[in-house]
Amino acid sequence: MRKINDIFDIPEEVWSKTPKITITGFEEILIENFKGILEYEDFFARINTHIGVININGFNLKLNQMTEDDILVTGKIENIDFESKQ
Amino acid sequence: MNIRNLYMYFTGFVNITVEGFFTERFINSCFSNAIFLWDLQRENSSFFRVKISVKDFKKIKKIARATKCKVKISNKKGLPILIHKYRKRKILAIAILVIAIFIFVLTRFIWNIDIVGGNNINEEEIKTLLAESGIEIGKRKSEFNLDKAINKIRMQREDISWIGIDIKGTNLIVNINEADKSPEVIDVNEVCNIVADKDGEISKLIVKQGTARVAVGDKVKKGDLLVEGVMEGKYTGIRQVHAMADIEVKKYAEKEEKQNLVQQIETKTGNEEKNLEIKFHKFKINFNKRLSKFEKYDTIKTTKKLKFFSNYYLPIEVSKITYLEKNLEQKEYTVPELTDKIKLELEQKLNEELGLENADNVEKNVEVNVEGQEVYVKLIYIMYEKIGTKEVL
Repeated sequence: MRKINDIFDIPEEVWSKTPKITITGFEEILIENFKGILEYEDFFARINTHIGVININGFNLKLNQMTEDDILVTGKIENIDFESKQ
Repeated sequence: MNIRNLYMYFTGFVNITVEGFFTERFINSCFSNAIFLWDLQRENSSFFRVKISVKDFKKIKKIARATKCKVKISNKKGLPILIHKYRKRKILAIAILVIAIFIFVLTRFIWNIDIVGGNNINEEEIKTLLAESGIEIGKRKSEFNLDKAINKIRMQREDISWIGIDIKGTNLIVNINEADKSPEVIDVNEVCNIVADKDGEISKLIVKQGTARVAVGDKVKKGDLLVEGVMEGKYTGIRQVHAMADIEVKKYAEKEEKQNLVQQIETKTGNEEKNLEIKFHKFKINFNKRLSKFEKYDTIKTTKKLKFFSNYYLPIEVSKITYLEKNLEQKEYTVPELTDKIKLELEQKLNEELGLENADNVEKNVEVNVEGQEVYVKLIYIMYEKIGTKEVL
């Protein structure tokens, strides 16, 4: 599967469940292919993905656009860290 | 994302507050049921606000019960809700409909005619020609026969080489291309004389072919023979030729004026009165019927045609009328000041009479006479003009 997709150069987030994380500036973070929200507070958000957990710390965090597999977190983001499942 | 917001505005959305211990579980089960949430904001650990579409709001009850959350509507927004709110206001709906119909009907007509190009062509003349073929302000677009109108104008006017009519919205644009008058072609081998076509005093005379019958300094009248198409030779005898010559005449134009050194001058006092006038096609409404209370005043009128976008003119004209009060004041001029003033005035008058744009290239003579309190100024223009037309024998 991986070999075929490498040949056709299809982005990984399209064919696998690997998340794609896009950070625009310090105030916007878009996570594609997420699984669910584990915890959400004003200053802290834990977002579950298929390969691990993304922790976002900051102030006034808002979950802006949410669809089945995209989520846009806005607010003053202080730091981001990952917890790998392996 | 803004397009989604716009779409949500048209379909309607609800601002809700969710309260409960397992709010995360509520959000996650919304995802798993393909319910779209946006602008989620946490107020405190067990309470948040979120926006949800009207359609999805009906499904949310089941989830709220399963996750033991309380859902409350704080407000509803969007177009369907707005319509629902105003559903009993029939007059408003009728008014909107009437306005829509009114505008739709108005756009079937022509409300403005623009004439582009043709600097030397009188716009009013073109407009009357258009009116003769049924193209007028306030007529229906569908009744126009543009081809016929164009042909008619082209037949009647020789100074127009091309004319095009465009209808854009309620604006009719007439494009005109002026034709240069083609000179009459006279065969060089034909025998002809040169005859004066205007009065004047000859200042320059260069004969290329023919025999001059006038000299420099002679005064000629219209119709006088200037150069005869005849050549005399010692050996060839008299033979007839095609007369050719460059002839210029001196022309004078003069104006004089006498003015007193002490004059009454109109000055503005700064007081002004405003009036508004609205015109619907040919029907006028004056907001203030009475005239200005000022004794002496200038009137400034600025008219504006209402339009949508750039080409949707409406048959409504709004005119702003401003009356500026004037006062008479005594002013004493010095002689050079007054001379300059009179000179300028005379120049303007002469330019207007002669149809000149400016008098920079004209030779000028100024005579000034001071008689006591009065200054007498005479301005003379000296101009050189080409004369002579060929007259075939």
